[in-house]
Amino acid sequence: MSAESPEPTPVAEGKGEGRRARHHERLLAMVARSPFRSPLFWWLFEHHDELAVEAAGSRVGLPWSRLCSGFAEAGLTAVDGTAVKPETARKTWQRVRKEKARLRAQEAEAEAERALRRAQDPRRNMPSRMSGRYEAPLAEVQPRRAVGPPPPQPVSNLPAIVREEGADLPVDPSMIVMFQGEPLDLNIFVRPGVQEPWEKPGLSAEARQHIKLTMLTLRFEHWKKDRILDLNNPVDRERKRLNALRNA
Amino acid sequence: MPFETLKRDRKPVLMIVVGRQRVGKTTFLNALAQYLRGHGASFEIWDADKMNATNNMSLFHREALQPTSVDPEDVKAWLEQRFTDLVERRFDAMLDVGGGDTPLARLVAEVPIVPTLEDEGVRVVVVHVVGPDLADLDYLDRFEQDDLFAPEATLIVMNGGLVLSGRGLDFAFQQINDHDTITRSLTKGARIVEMPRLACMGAVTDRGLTFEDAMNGKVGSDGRNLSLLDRPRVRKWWTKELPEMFRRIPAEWLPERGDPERTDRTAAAE
Repeated sequence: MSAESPEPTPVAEGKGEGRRARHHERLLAMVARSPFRSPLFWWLFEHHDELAVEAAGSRVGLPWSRLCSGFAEAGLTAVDGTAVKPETARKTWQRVRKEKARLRAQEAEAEAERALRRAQDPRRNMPSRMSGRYEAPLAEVQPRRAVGPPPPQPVSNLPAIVREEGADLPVDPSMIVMFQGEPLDLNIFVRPGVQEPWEKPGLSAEARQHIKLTMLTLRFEHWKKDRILDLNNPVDRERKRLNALRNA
Repeated sequence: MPFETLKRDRKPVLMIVVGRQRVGKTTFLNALAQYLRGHGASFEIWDADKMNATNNMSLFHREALQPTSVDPEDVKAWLEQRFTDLVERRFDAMLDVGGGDTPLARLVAEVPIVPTLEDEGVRVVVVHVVGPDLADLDYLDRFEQDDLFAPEATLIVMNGGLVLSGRGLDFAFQQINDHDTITRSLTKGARIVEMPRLACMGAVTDRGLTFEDAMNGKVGSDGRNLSLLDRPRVRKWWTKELPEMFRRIPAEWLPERGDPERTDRTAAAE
């Protein structure tokens, strides 16, 4: 049976037969996707994570011969509708893994670009840029507009410049660091209503950027150590609020 | 230890640690020297801190060179010899001058040391170790004035070990970070790193142990090893927190690392 025209499964007799028929129907519905891919491809795609775990735990790989018997029973075929052979199954599995890796990379790149755009937006901390429900902060002083050099022009295929925690810091002009798997904008450590060292008069733009990055990185490092004793500190509260708004 | 002449395309590094007394200069330099040695770096250690008998570089690094006299003029002459040697033979070196009115400070007042050495192709790296007291910035302020002793490669090490236990780091260092002296140094290209606190630092150094030996439970000069919980404390500090700090220092400001296995073999052969 091919993916483009899934045939109705005959109604089976008996309890066991009925369950098997429903199982077949579910399988076939799952694999009815692109006609350019075999039903086997889509079944392996759907069960990629389970199979990957299985393969990782086995030193000899997946038992393709045994699996092929199961594929035949479930009505899964190669792209030309013929029964699946172990070698075909193995090659299809490689293609599935490649496709999964491609999709993961695509998603990571998109997320990095989104994080970069958020970081470069000079009005990123303004209420109008926040999706979902926005409530006025409890502080009497409103958050200031983010300062810094004008953002660079968008570049296609821009590599992710999200900095890993612990990497060399001072050379990267980005104000984004990763903390507990989430991007964290160092501007969260800017003190509202206080003249910051980089705002002192007479500094060049380059010096301002260097001082700001140095100071905010230090505050980030201090906060990581200090927060152990107070997980409900203002920065954590603000971080959670912003993450919730971003994920809403 | 036999020295290998540096490659011609790389500037030899002279790292000089300065600061008030008891801010952790020797602690920083000792940790850095142990770390870099462990990663295969070859460099000389110059220990001009003759006033500190209980915690100096020579105790932890037997190969460290020391002046034979404590007379300030003799030490000045000894330092001049060392600088000349470095320019001629081109190797990396670390200098611990101690605190207070040092012979180096006198030399700096007499001669423009930094430009002279930099003209000879030496990268002078001045490390200011400071704690959370404003007075800890005095050296930095003094040396920065008129560019007396202020190379582009200036590293400010904020010693988290000097913050009283239970006090927030950010709060403790706030007045230092906001100070004009720091802003001025950063404007000239200085870098700041924070040395993480090791609660049992005294227990390690008083026993004359290396950090590696301390975390592995080796017995110190008093015949005892570190306590059950101090060993993992040292391990976390030595293997995680300290390397994070060192990674933030520009690589060209540090003695060049090599192949640790090669160094181990060299040490074993000696």
